[in-house]
Amino acid sequence: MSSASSASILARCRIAGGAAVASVCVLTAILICLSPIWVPGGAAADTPDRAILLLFPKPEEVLPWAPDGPTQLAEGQELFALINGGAELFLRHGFERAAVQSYSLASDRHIQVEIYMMQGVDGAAEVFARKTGPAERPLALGDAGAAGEYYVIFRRGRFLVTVAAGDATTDAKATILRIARAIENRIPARFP
Amino acid sequence: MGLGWSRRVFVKAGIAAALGPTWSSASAAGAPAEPADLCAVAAADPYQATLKAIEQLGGIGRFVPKGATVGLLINHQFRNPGAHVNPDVSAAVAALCWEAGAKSILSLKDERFTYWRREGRSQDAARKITPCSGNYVTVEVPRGQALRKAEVIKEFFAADVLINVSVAKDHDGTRYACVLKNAMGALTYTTCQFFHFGHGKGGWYGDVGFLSQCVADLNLLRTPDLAVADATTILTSNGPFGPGKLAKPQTVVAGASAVSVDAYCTRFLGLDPSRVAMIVRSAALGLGETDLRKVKVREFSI
Repeated sequence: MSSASSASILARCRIAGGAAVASVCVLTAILICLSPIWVPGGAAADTPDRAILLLFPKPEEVLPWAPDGPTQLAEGQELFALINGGAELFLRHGFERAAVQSYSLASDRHIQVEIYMMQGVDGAAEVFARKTGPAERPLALGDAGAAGEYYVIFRRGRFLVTVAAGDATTDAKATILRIARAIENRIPARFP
Repeated sequence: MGLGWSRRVFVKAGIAAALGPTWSSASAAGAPAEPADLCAVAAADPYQATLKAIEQLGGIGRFVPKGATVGLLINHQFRNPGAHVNPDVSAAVAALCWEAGAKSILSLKDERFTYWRREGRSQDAARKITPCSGNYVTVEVPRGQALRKAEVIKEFFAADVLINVSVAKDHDGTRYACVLKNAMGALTYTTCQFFHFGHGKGGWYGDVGFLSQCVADLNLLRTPDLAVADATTILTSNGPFGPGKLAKPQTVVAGASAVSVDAYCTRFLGLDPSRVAMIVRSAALGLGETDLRKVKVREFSI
């Protein structure tokens, strides 16, 4: 038997502002620090990551829920470390990067927000079609939206967003819709 | 929508599929005269269901001797509902291990998100659990048909007792995932990638047969001493990550055989175990029985 360090062989997603983001440009960091715009997970994110991080609502928009831990980031194959086999569907249709942020209320209630940036609008549409079906009802959100009992999924441009609660209470359902709309409003109509 | 997967449907399915075992109310059942091989307990409280299921196997003492080091392999990677083991199920297993006099409990998988923070009972049970080292060992799989070598977390072998705690759920590639597949949680990402791409055909699920054989081969390395399957709230679409449709069988299943527990739990997704390749291939390797008529099954509804 030979020893192997997990650090060298595990694919890792990254944490916004965390040590794993090794390629942070100092200039970008300085610019972000100087910026009045709130960036989830801290300021140390490179420009492409920052573009997706800026889509998350500000903490005051989700009150009384609060961000729970850092934003997790994944680019390309890193998605496997974030969502395991679920990554196949995204990669097949031109996945570019993703950011996942959890929110909590007390210790036992949570909401998870996932924002996937695809390479093109078609990719977002393909994934949306695959992840929705008769179980969800159509929802007027983004270019196309759907609501399940405890989650909403929508796409806008080349973004696909899921917002899922840990329960299906009225409060949780209202909050996931509020978060989804906040994200929808932040996605530019023409994202490059 | 699946949240309403009714108890009645579940009980009917259970009875039909098991061909023999009958459901008893907990009040009618005291300590088991003879330990069951597999026990399913339907209850509103997952913690109590877990305690009851293991009690019916002969109690935790059957699996965890005093002073033992226990390795817990819990499927807690994903946060969406139905995609991870209810923390109360894991907490009940841990509490029983401490009660049996375990020297230590090792978590074989890095905790993701804030898993143990969710419930008070989880907090209590988790306080003394030792995180895994993060060090992996490379081992040969002598009888492996597809998997010949694997990088496995070292505590997988070092623990005196291995307990696999998983959740029954939909899986985009294999259609079903639970105990047998949860063994992949002990592997490096590199080895997991081999499961998916080692066939050379391309695609994460380019050869589900190969993937299923790798899962079976992996379980040759070490089968769990105790397998616990959470079927309280399960993902029935968009698995393994979710979010997706949920069913609520409100049941916990425990057994000494990972294969039998998986074979039993396929019913919660409306599947037949003979159609789930990883179960069939594991049974073919002699890892357990899929014909539940040959297994001493006990079922309770609390």
